Amino acid sequence: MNLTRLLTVAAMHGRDLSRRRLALVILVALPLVFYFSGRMQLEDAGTTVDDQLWVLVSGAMGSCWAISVAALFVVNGSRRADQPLLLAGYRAAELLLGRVLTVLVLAALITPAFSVLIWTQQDVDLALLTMGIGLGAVVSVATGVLAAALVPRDMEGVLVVIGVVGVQMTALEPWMPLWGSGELIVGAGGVAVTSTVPEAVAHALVSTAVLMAAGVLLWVRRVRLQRAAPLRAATTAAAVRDVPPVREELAVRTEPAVPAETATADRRTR
Amino acid sequence: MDQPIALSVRGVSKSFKRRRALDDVSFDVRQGEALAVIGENGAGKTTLLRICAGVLAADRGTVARPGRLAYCPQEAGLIDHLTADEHLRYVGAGRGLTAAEARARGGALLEWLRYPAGETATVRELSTGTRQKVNLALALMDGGALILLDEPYQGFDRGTYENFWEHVGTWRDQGAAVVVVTHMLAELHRVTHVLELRVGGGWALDGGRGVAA
Repeated sequence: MNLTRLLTVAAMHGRDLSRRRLALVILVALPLVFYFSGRMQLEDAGTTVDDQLWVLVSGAMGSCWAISVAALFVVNGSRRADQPLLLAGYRAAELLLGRVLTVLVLAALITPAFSVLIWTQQDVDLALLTMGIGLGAVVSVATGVLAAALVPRDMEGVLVVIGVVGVQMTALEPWMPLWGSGELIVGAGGVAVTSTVPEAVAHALVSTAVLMAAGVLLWVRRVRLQRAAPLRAATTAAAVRDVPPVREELAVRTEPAVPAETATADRRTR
Repeated sequence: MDQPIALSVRGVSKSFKRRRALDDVSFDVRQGEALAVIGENGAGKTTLLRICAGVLAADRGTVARPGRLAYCPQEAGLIDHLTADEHLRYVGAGRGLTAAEARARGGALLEWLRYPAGETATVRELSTGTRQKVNLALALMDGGALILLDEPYQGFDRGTYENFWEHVGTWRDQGAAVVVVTHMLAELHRVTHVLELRVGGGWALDGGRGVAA
């Protein structure tokens, strides 16, 4: 792993992402829409603890969905360039981790601001909320990478992310990757949860590691270059190959294009 | 004395589902030679070049090639929101070049290709031909003993197109082996060998199935 190459990848995809202004606006607006639509319903329906919690979790999951999709687009958006870049000397891990770094920087800019915004709207533990949303973003990056590795096309990838995150918006279970960060977010809302903070953090980190490892393995398998045979051995093989006779109809078609002395001298027939 | 072999393809076959694209294709290309790969649409030209470059696996057969090569794919491997200059630095870093070295080397190639001087637009804003010039310049940045080009002149203006074919001769003189996928049969006098691929997997080298070696 070469640090210069890794940072070059991150910088270039950072530039690429920063110029996708509409995508960035949607990325920032989506969790806000999730959150404030919930707040509006809350004002209509009353302010029970469950209502407060639902709004909090839906906003946080909105940010997770947005980060997952960003990761999906950053990894998949340059897939035509992947193999030319490998031929240019990059390692697959450098390309993938450089892009992951780009999305993590984006997440680091968005999630604290979103946590502070929620804190101004609701009675929450800011530190716990920031930790929960931040870890949710990290898990979401890994989710986006895995989705990109599983399905090379953006539309199918977005549907996978909608499914994975959407299920966790309705029911969070311990076997789900966002459960740990969800526990922290619920705890930040003042509701008793079953896990301790270290357990929730560990869950999020382990989920990230598992998703990322699966994503890296699948992605590297998809883009890897084929190994070449040694050239010296191939030179020997040329002399012993069986060659069927010349087909006249093809000879007529290509003969004028090839200098006669070259074609005769270079072709070995038996 | 024969030049060293720069690309050796032996018994390469490839099918997509039930459709056979390549059937037991074998040929060699030596340094200083140019091979044109011709054939109808769907005959497997791009598939063969992708296998030669190592970006696609063959079902059977082997390919021997140098560790570093120049490969210009038919579909430009560009990142939409980066400029040509940023592409040069991105690819250059992979090859261990500093930003200044990448700009110098890539800039000379772009100048040769008549890329508009001072162009700062991102590649998505460029015309097809201008994007293809960036694609070709990136592929050629490393030079190398083997140059694989898949219809690299698509969208080129007349002057750049003619310039390209003249350079095929220059690269050969410099000792490179060049493989060009082309539909331009009028340019075949510029190459040393012609490989014709046929829909269904058939092929013929220099008019007859064989091994140029």
